[in-house]
Amino acid sequence: MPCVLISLKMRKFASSFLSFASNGIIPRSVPSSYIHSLECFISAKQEFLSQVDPSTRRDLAIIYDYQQKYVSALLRQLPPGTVYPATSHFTSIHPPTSIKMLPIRQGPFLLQPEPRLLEGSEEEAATDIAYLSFGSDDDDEGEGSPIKHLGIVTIAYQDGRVDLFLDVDKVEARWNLKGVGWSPETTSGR
Amino acid sequence: MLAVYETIDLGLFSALQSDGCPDLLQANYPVFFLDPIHDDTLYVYHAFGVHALQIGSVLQHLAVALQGVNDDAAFEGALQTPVGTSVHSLLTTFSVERKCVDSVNTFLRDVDETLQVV
Repeated sequence: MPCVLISLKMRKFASSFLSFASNGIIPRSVPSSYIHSLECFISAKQEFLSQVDPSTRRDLAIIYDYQQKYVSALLRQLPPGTVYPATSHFTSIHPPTSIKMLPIRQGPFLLQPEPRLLEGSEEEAATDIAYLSFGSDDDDEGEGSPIKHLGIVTIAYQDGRVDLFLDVDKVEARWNLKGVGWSPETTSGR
Repeated sequence: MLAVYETIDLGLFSALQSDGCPDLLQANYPVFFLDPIHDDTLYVYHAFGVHALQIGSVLQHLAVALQGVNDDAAFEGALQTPVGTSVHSLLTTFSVERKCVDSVNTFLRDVDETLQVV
């Protein structure tokens, strides 16, 4: 669900391919339930954090505060009277102007184990990436299914190779906050 | 971290290599198209046609493995019998005789080159 803030990008680096992520890039139009779900998710994370000692995870608390601010700003863009749970409507949104912090580039993400290469192939450029998720909010059928929260990332290459990855460690929105020390180096190896 | 589950070979490289024209891959830019109805199906459009990838069986397999985490025998069984994506070739636009492709990609590239000449 937090992937509404996420856009995966790729960049060629030497002979291998690296995936990066950055938040702050959002679709022009999303179902209103998406933003409500995002708010619930962040509130749940904050509540969980408050149950453990918040002072030990001050870095996380600051990140969650920012996520909360971001989603609150998105909520204010919904038409008046949109309450949850209500019938979800597609609503046009734009990145909040009240958030001045720059989103941080996350990655490169480690591919493990190393994907196999086609023997003899020299056309190894990646050409497209797709993210698949399963079980929408309107679909109660998948409730309780262990794959409901599983994301799958696929990457296509010029030589006709397609890699299929499991997104086991979900990417979350992060900003370049002074004094917190979040940087690609500290987030990539998680 | 992204957990690598599977590497799928659409067979383009081996087919072109056996036909002696692997250079055609240089104009190959595969793109994904997600099925609007079935969320376990995606299509790969490439210079030589279209492939459909169905990952439903992979998902079912993963669900069984995840549910079996507390059941050693089921978990072990799921790990020992990996299930792969089912891959179907929907459309082939490659001509072996002419050693060329009649695809949208090639067409667009030709149009582009023509426009540059003009």
